[in-house]
Amino acid sequence: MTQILTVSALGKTYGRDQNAHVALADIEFEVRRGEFVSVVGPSGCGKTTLLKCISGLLKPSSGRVELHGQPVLEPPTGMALVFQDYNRSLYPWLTVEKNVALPLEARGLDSRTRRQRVHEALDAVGLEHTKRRRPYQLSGGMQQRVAIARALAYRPEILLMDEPFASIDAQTRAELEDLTLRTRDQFGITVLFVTHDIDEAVYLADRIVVLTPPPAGVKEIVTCDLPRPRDQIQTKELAQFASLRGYVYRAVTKSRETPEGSGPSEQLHVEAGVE
Amino acid sequence: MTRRRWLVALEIAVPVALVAAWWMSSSGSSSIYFPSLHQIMDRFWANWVETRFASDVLPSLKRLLIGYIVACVVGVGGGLVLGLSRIARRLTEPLVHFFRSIPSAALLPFAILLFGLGDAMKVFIIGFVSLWPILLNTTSGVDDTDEVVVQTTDVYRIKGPRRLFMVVLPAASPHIIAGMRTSLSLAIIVMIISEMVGSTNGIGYFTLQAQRGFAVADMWSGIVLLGLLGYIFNLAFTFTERRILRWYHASRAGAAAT
Ligand SMILES: Nc1ncnc2c1ncn2[C@@H]1O[C@H](COP(=O)(O)OP(=O)(O)OP(=O)(O)O)[C@@H](O)[C@H]1O
Ligand SMILES: [Mg+2]
Repeated sequence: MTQILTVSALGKTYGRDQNAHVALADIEFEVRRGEFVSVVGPSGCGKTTLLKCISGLLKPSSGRVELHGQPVLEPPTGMALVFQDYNRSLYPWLTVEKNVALPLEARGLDSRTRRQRVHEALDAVGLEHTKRRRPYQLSGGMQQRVAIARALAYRPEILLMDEPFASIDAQTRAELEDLTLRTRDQFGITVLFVTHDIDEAVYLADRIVVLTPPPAGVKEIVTCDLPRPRDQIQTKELAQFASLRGYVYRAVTKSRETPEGSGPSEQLHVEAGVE
Repeated sequence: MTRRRWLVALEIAVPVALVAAWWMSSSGSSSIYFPSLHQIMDRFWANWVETRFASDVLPSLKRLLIGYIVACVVGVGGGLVLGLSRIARRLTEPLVHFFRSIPSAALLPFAILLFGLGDAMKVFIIGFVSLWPILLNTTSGVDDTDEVVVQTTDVYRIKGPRRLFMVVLPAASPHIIAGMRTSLSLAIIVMIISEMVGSTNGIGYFTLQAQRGFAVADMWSGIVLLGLLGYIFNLAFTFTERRILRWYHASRAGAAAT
């Protein structure tokens, strides 16, 4: 497998002088084509900042991001990002259907293909019946599913997801995890997936990047070679799953005990739904 | 629902009661300044429905609408440019604030000098005064667009006219429409003033002429018409705004509830 994304010596500092806040320090990892990489780390450690630098939305203060060996200076073609702030990421003036379709229009797809993809994606997240509604008429979890449908319908080459399932109930969440895996298999999508939830990270990933507390650096990269296809029950019953889960958990917790750790109040959210 | 009905009923009943009170208390009035409402309505009908609709009301409305619509187009267009380009914003900021601070009346001599007393002068000054609130609001609306909305649009590489019409303008539309509402009241005021200062027709011209000729009931009929026009414009505006910005009010109501 060849690498598609390379992050080297990436640093990001917000503000300057006394107000300077180092969010990322020297992040280094790579993602191979078709790989599923999870990123875990404590709240506020800079995961969103990392994704925004990778997608070209934020300019890194140092280091570089390369996609196919080309430096990323603006959002590249073939990349989609599911934002953590899903309620601000949908266009409230457009219907659900139009929200999903707009990026496809911008990509120049003809209207038949667009309709087909919008239909499939909304159907896959169980929201086909809401296509004529507007985002404010949906619950938070439904809005997030629309944002996910929009990203899947786009069929990006590389998909970045920022805690996409955090506000979604356990049952739907399991379904969406499997949907993401299926879609990726079907279209050969490379996924970089940020989450608080270690079980989720282990269940989904080929490799897990564990970040240290702020300023975030890479603590460790854990290989997660559980058999595929993954299954919500069988995979999670494997002894290997339990040991990986324990291993990552310890890596994350240990990473909080480094000298620059922000103290005991900096909780890792193992459960979903906490922002 | 019943509470709502009560409110609607009151909304209608109170003005009706006030008009009735005016009617009764003024009937048989011998005051020069406050003729009876009956007389005023007589003149209202005779002036605005029978004789002067085409000669005074239409010219006024025409000037108002042309000036206002030009201001809307230029204001939204200019505001988009300023909202999207920080450099353009920086460069024009002092100028914009200077122009919008000039009281409209102070501009009349200049407008007359430039355009004489005809329609052009009035359209110019109506448009000029209406321009600034729309321009400023469009600028701030575009500039204040939610960061995540902008980033989403960037990531999906939505560009050009599609970005403008599907994202930038709708996102700024609550601000734009607020600016247009402010401008509409200003435009009406300026329309009247410009007609009073230099004109040979129009509602403002007629109203002032009536006063000068001691035709007090005619003067009042002009005032009543202007009040009515303002009210109707506002109503039409509110109605359109509710439809266009339904998503905005609904989203805000939702955000407040959670
Ligand atoms: N625009 C900004 N300006 C200044 N500081 C910022 C900005 N955005 C984020 N930060 C700071 O950078 C740090 C990392 O933020 P970031 O949102 O990347 O964390 P995160 O890991 O995604 O957190 P969470 O798990 O809560 O989503 C935080 O301390 C935050 O306060
Ligand atoms: Mg985040």
